Amino acid sequence: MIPSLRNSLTCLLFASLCVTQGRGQAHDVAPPPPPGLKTVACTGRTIPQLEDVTEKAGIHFRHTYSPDKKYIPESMSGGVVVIDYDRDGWPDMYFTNAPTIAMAMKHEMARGALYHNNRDGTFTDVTDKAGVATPCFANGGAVGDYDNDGWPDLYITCLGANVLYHNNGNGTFTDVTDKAGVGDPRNSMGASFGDYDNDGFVDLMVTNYVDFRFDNMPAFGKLPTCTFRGLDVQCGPRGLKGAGDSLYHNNGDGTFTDVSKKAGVDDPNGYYGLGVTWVDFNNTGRVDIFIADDATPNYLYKNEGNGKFTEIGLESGTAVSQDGSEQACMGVAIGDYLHEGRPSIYVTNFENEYNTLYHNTGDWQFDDISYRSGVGLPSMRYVKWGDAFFDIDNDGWLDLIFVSGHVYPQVATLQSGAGYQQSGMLQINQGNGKFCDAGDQAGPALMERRTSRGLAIGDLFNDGQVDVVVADIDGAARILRNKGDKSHHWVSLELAGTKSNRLAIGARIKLTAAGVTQTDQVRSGGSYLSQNDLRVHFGLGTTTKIDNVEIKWPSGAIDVLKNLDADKSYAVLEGKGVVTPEQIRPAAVAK
Amino acid sequence: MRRLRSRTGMAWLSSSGPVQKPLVPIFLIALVIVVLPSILFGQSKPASKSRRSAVPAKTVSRTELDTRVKALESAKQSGDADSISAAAKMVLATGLREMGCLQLLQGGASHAIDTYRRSNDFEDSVITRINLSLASLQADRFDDSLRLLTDILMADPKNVRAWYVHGQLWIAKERYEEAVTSFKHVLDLQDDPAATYLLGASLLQLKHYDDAEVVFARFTGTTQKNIHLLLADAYRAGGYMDDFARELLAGGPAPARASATMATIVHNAALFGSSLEIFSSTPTDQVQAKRAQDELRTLLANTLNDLGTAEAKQGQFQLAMAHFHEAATWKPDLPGLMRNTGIAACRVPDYPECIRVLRAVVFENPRDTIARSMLGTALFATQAYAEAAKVFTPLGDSALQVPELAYSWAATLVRINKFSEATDLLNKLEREKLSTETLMLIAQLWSQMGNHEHTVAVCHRALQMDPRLPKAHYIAGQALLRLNRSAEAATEFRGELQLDPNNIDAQFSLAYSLLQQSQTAEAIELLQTVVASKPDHPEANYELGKQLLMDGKPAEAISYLEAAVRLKPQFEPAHFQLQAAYRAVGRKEDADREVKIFRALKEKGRNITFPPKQTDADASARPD
Repeated sequence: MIPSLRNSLTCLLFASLCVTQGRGQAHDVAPPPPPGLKTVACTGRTIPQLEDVTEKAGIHFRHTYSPDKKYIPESMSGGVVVIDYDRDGWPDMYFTNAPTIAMAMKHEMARGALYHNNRDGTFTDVTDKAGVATPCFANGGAVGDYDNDGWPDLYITCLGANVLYHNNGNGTFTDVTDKAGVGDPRNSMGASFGDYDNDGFVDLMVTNYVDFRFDNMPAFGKLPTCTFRGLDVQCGPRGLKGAGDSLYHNNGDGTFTDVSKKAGVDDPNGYYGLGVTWVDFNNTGRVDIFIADDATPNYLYKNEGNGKFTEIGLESGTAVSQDGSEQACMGVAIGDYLHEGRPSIYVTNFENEYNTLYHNTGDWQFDDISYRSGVGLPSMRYVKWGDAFFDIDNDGWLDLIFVSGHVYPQVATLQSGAGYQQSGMLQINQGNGKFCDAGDQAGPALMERRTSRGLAIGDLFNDGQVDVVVADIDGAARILRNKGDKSHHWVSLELAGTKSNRLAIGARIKLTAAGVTQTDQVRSGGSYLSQNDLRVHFGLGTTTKIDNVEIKWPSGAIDVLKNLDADKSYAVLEGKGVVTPEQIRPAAVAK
Repeated sequence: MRRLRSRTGMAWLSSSGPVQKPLVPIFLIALVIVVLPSILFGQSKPASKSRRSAVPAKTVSRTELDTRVKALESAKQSGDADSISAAAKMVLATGLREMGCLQLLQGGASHAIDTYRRSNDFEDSVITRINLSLASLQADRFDDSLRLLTDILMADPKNVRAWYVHGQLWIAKERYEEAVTSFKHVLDLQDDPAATYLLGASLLQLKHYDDAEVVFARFTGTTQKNIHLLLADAYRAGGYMDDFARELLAGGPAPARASATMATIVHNAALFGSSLEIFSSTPTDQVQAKRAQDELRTLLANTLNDLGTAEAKQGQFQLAMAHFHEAATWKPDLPGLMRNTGIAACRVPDYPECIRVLRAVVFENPRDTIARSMLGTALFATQAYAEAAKVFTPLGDSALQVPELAYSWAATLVRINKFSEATDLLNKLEREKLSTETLMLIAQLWSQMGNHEHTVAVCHRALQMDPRLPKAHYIAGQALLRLNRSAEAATEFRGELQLDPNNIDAQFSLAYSLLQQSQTAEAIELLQTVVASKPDHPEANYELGKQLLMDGKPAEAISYLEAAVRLKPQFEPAHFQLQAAYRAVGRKEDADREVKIFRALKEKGRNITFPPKQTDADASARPD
């Protein structure tokens, strides 16, 4: 046969067909969901409405943003911290902010915002007075009283040195980072205070993300890992070096010591750390650490009680999904959602990855029941961030909420997918191990398509309903007021340690009412770059009487409270039990 | 629409000729490429005058060469590849022989040996073999020379020239009796002054003075003074100084002569103008020889190019490439030669050579669309996708004229994640009339871009053209699985199995799609069938084990999962599931071992590129 160009090309092409398809892209393609799964919408029950009261509340904070997000730090900021900084019993809020890379290169800053709760449904911007406007290229934050003076302090994670603000007790804060020695200079994201050695002083765990350098920034779309579905996008995290994590031990004198390596939690693998929190997973009386790592296995550090931790992520089943896939984990929520006395883990993930519910089956074993519980499938189309277990309707069963928004503005040009701006999702606990989807039943605010990041919960208005605060990266923050289910009752506990750390972080509460026992723990950090209200809230359903509350303090002490009335907030002092709110508050400091 | 068009026009392989004129507009090439392929190879131009002048003039060989060149031109006029090939080989045989002579003249015996041998590759010629024996003799490779001559003389005892060189060989070996015998054979066959002279000289070496005198008597009374000088050398070499003096005197005033050896005598023999001497037909003037050599170089390069072109037309690309390479050794800058070399290399396929050569060709002539197409495709085949995309881009819509070319361009774009551009190109391509083969390639490209809907559509289009097309159902099924349309996927896999009931891949995929639909019983049965017929199917073992584990049967799952990790040790999920199964049955140590393997595999596969180490200066440059 006489050769032709067509034949020549065909020969060449067939010779090349055996070339394997290269991996690439910023994110792996996730496996499809399993057999015949369907989203189950909630029916036959009242879904509390989440009303957007942002404007009414006087919250005007807007996050600074880059429209094209050419560099990964421009997609990652947006934390919200619920902090009762003036200890008046009304939660205040701090929103982190970060400049664009272009601004940062010119040493320009972006203002964060501290809002004081006016106790009347409104808030006042007190940022300048407090002195917390521009800590750094701020990502997230956490609350802890590192010096046990009774005033909650604020830790801000940054691209660059982190900042520890000491609460002066008079409405102002002082940057004590250098003295405290907690200014991790890397690219920090999550932070959480927890007293891992139960010495009465909270220690500090900080996760770091990618090793991002201003003098060597990964070029937009230049590598296979800087593409997504055929679009040029920002580079990372895949393809970039991870930045390791830090554990700071509180010396009790206002200073900390970096014990990351000694404790075995320094992340030598360089996984891309995001959400973090301390949790006593196996009721040992010692807090363990869970870290959600983006595109790499999550860490579960078991606290061995001797200042050292053992990483058991894979062994426990919490490192990857049930099929062994590393997911792009962002936010962490912890909850005993089945009343088993064991905290389970809920992690938010990337588009086409389901949010993972790791059910704690005891003895350091977890079971990925995401699909079986109904939380997996509805979450798949979104890029999910801040999340929380919270009892939206006070029925005594912890529900789930998460917010979403893509990292790549470029996806707005794609026909398929959930788009760049995405809605949030509410999933209601049906009390039988399954959740139903109520995202479109909680009012228009949650359905609004946004580019959200941080999420925190707290009863902002002290009305017994747990509200939601959301920080967006491309715009305004939002307050979603929970209108609640008025037929249900609740109780709230504000704890104060004496022998234990002052904010009682790590204290475990076991509440029994009408034969149902719920458990929870006072936790710092968690969600995505955010901090929930430190008060512990329980929904009680139709029960108006609480039979028993057992508080196991980090010190090991146990307080038992009997016969509490529902629909009240209680102040509890370690060793004293229920006291007046004033008794757990620090002495006033001269302004 | 832009068309594939080239400034110089466009036989697929260009034969030699002074000017490349367009033979067929390139946009027609795509259309006639199959039905009129001979046009593509073009009809070579008649040789130009300058080319004919490459033949050294007025010798037997040159006359022969001239004749053969004319025959080649006639063959090229006919366009018949066989005739061109045969005629070209004849030209090369003679031309190389001529070149060997010139090399020998310039003292390049070793080169001449190679050249004569190459000449003999094209045509087994006694003349060439005698020349080769002479070259071997001059290179002191006496045994080679003698073997060649013996063969010739055994076949043809009356080959006078062979006897003549034979005599020279014996002189070189100082075997004068044998030399005398050889020269006597020469003189028995024909009268020759050079042979006479060498015979006499050999006799003098044997101290057969009288016999030598009889032989030299032929030159008695000669008036040519130089003959006396040559005779003087012979006497002097034989140690007969009186005779030497006599002949020197008879030769008249002459420059002082160095002491003569038999090597001198053999050299002297060439001066008799004997037809047996190779140099008799070779220009002795250095300038003339240089010019002749240059002309021969051009002739050889052109002819090798013609030969390669003819061979390429016959599909003998390896041979063609070798001849193009050989042409380049004679004249590397021969017009069109590099292009032909590159295209032949592409067809071998020798991608590195194709790319090396065509890069230069395309650089030289960016509008050479054929070379550009071939270069781009070779770059694609060697996974140099970024460069391939750059090479393909100038082709524009004209690439659509050759669907395979457009496909390779689109595939290149996919490989470098330029999905938007690939999508545009494929959408245009799909409007063309396409073969089922091309459609299946396109379907897989859509799949790689994640456009599984389109994959299914293209597979169905191909199946409409040929309902029994292999793989189309299978690829459509895979795409439907990606779309979470497992029921439809199962239908496709069943379709594939109707065409080929023993298709293990289709059986496995059907099982997988059934698992997706919770039809676990049938799926497990199918998976067991697959494992039974192919126990080394790692995926089937994995899925079966995983399903059993999910069904709460970890003990049963273990053997399948163990098989999966044994068959595919790098497959991380199998290790993960196996550890879960071990853990479920309380085999903690085994579970921990598998976790360790899983973790190690994950770390190994992690694609982290480390930026340079940060310095203090870097840190200080970071904004606050």
